Amino acid sequence: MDLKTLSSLSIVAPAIVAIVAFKRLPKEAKYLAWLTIISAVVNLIANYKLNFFVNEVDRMNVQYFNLFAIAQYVLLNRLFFLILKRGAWKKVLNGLLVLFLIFAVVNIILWQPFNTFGSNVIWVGNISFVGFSLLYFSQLLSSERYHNLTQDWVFWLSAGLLLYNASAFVLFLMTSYIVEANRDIYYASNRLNAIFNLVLTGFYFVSLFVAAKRYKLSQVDDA
Amino acid sequence: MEDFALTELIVGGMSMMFLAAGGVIAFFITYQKRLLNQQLKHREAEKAHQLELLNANFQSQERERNRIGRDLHDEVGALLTTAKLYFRYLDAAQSSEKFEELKDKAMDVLEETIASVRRVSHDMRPVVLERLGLVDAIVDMADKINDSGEVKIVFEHNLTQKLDFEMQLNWYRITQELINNALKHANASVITIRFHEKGNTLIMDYKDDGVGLKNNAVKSGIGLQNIESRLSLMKGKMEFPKGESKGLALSLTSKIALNKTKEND
Repeated sequence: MDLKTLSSLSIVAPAIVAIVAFKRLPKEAKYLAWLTIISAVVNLIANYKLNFFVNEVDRMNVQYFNLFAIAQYVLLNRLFFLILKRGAWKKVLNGLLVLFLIFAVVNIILWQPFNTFGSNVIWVGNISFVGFSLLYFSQLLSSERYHNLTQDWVFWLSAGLLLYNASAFVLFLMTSYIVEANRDIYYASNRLNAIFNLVLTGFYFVSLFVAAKRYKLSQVDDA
Repeated sequence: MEDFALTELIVGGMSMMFLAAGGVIAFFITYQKRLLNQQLKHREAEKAHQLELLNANFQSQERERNRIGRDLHDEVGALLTTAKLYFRYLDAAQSSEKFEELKDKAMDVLEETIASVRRVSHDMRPVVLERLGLVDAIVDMADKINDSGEVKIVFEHNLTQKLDFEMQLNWYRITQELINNALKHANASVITIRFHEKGNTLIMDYKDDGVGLKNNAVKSGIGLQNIESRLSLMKGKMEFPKGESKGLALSLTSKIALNKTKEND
């Protein structure tokens, strides 16, 4: 199994935690659980098609990732909507969700059809997830009370999202250049992305594990 | 060459962004740890302060018990011993004149004993406060001291609300403590006490022209700790106004608790 496949299938581990501990998870963490389960299904199907179909048309798996990118945005947007306390931030999240969905549809119609890799939607999502994470950190910083970070599942989620999306944003922003360039650049960048993706799934795993232990959500004061 | 630059740009950019994100998280964890240390220090300082207040409270109680014990032993005990002697001689008295004289003396001693017991009990729970309230009790206290002619107490107030008795007692004891301190340690000749209400807050401004806190070193002494302890019971605080060069100036505040029963009306 190569690094890319390993990275792609690593999401199965947090998905198993999500399925096993689903009932014990707090309401907000259920969004993360769904995200990992959907991600695991998408990655399993995509890898299956890629490895077991010879026909080029049957091997097409980008549409699954395109759908997943939209589902991922909706789930994380709603998760942070529940986590963030400030009313203004909640309004921003609602606005961003509407704008993102409009952008995703327009992108499919005008720039990147459904059967091509929707990198625009993905890098816009990357920036948003970095923003969500920073908003959560900012919420914790504005609180004067100490939070035990190891027992805060949102901290683990935010840290993972920040680490992965800050780097992946560069990759997906440059996708069009990478496709046109030689294979070495493609492999180098994808290998790096696979490593960072492993880090992300590791953080998802810890986040769900901590959430499943029914640690209380950090009570962050309204700033 | 162009491909090499692109590889550097993408791989370098991704790595840099990953490290930058790691830096943000590291900063955040460090900040949280610092916050935890600050909170622990603050909690320890508060605990130490509470212990100091508790200690001061115990010492104050012990001092009060000693004073009452001394008063009972030196005054009431001595007077009762004298009365006992008189009664012993009453039996042995031969003439009716002598009997009358001894009886009168014994009665005088008993009167004095009763007065002494009354004074001790009044000190424990000031009757004037119970009967007339905080303002009149302080006026009474000030009048007695002003009568000596050596020290002048200026007392002003705009209190209109009927305060909870426990609150009155606390403020009475605080006033007593400050005046005692001014007389015993500070050698003050003029003491100004102002009570005023501001919304739901009772403010006491105290000032004297004594030696101040630097010389008599009572800032951390039992007296001020007692005051602080009583203020903390009333969710109040004590501040030292800036710019006061001579004597002692204090601003004490507490939330107003109103009298809900008619017991003390």
